[in-house]
Amino acid sequence: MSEKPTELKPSSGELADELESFRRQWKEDLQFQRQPLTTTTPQPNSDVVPTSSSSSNPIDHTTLKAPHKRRHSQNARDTIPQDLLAQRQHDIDGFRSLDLDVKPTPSLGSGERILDSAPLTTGLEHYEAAVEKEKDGRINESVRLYRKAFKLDPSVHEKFKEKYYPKQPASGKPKNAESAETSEQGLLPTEELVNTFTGVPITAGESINLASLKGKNSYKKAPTCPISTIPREILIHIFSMLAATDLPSFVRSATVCKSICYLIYTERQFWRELCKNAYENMIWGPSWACDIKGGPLLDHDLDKIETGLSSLGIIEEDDSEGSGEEEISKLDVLPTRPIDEIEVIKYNSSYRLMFIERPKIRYNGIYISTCTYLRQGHQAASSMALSTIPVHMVTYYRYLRFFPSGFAIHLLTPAEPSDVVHSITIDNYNYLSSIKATTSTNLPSHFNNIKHILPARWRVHFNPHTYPSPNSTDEPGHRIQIESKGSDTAGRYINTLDLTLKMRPRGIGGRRGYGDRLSWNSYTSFNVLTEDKGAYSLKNDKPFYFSRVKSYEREVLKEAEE
Amino acid sequence: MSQIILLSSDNVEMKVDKEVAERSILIKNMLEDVGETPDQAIPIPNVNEGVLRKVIEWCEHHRNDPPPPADEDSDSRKKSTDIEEWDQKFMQVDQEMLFEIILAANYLDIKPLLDVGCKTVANMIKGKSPEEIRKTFNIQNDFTPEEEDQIRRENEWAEE
Repeated sequence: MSEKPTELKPSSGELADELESFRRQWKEDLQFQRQPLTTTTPQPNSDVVPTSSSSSNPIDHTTLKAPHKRRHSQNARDTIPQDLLAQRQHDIDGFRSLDLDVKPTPSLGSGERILDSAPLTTGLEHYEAAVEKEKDGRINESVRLYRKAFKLDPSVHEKFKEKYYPKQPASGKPKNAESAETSEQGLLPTEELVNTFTGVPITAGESINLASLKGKNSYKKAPTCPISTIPREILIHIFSMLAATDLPSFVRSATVCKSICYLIYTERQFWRELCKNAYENMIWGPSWACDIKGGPLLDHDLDKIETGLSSLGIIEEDDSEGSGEEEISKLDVLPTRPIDEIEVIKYNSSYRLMFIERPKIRYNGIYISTCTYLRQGHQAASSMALSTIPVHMVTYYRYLRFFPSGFAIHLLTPAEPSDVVHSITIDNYNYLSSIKATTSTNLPSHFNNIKHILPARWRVHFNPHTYPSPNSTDEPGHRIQIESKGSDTAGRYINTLDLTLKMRPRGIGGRRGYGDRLSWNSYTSFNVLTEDKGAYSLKNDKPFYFSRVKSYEREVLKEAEE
Repeated sequence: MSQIILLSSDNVEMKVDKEVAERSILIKNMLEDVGETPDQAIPIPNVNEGVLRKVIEWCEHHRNDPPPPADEDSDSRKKSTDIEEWDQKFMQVDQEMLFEIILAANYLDIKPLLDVGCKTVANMIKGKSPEEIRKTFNIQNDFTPEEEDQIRRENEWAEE
């Protein structure tokens, strides 16, 4: 019965101990070997990691394995020939003359060229020799060779890269040339860059050295970084909790260090779940999810409006979207929404890219359309005939807030966003509509800006009969339809907003441009009593832009919990 | 109430109510396999005394909690990072202990405790800048300035 526990991994305590003692030993070794040449101390966590360990040496990501990896490199270092060690010792004695007879350690990999005693002629040869010397830690010689190489051939660095690192130009940069070169060439595309972070462990930062403050050695405490002892599966658990509750913090964590960056960029589970939540929560047509006031659906009302609108052709309705019973029963076997596994193919099979770029309605903020137009005023009677005619600049805002239930709030007001955004809540809507139902007493002043709040419902155009479309550019989820109650007190009118949802386009250098926006296709009205239809002019109306609102975010989270 | 003895990795014996110890699915399954309450101590080779005491403390307090839902519906476990007050206080330990509790909960298969630990860590990350996160966990920034800038810019979308 004690078999079970014993075959499991060692306790964290043991591990920490082991790690600690290993670290200590390693540091001592390093000091012994390289004391005088501190600049090249090949700490795996410093940013001058040689390429071989960061990119071409894929290691299991489990942080627990990190010590083993280090041990390997340690062993490699132990086998450095004695004469090289002697050589190093020699180096620190002074600025030595070039000794080209020393055979460099062959470690350049496939494209390597082992130098023999033949004199160096071209810039590239000098450069290669310099690289080898640098690897051996003989900095003085190395720098001299680099200088000579560049003197002989200013483009030697490019040649070197071409020869040894044809595919990953940015990663094979020798340290000395780095400062000169980075400004000239861009970095790798982020996806490739992130791939070079494979297997990089989380490393402890520099702890404050109390000894330097107090002048005593005994205060020196080894830096600890307990999070680096956590296996990947637990890190995934932590970060998926973070992703579900605080997306910005989750995404921001990618900038902390290479290891976390790699985890966040490459772990599909995070993004798959985010996608699932985002797209599952949208209201996929052809049906609505609630009536126009957010209440349960009344089918006959729905059909009347829908067939009325589609028969006129104001709204493009698919012929399959009939109202017959048979049609509805057929819907049962059809997809109720686009299938993520199919959609993701359009985004290089990356759920991360899909989450960023595929249109989605967001609930943690508000869509605002700012409309401005100029109106000519009347000339004042008392003024002179030649005086200018006043021109009014009129600004008003159209606000749209979506809810996962299929309900939406629509508000048209001249009040600025900062004055109204926080009042656009379900509670306030309920309060206002309850008051309207009873009396028309004076409202508390803070309701003045939102008293014309209108109930609405929304859905995404989705036709299950034609999904998935063979046309890959066809984007399900683009077109949003909103039905909003008219502002007339009798409630005779229903307005329909037909909008197209666009996500931020990819800008230059991976930078994304403006936020998500909803642009107008049409804005129509329908008189329920007379069945009259009409279209509004969209002359002044501008697209809606999304803005995050923190107080909504909290509401969304609270709702998700319940 | 029958009691069992747990043996920590540093060979310290601890008497615990069976019911309390069975908050750990690992121990529960073990006891079920054996069939009867063992007289000998059950070795917990991955958990040292200090951590094991903390874990038992948690199990004592939560001994009457309903068992976690059997289905592995991780969704509901992730929807919130709220932590009840007692657990919050319980988790006010140094980071080394916090992560050791997480590792122990993972090893002993005590899902609610693992969740509390992970939520605590998630809450330590929330709302912080990358630099603040690094400071909180003593993580070294191993990006070059160019790399860091590139990653930061690429992720600006999430802040909007």
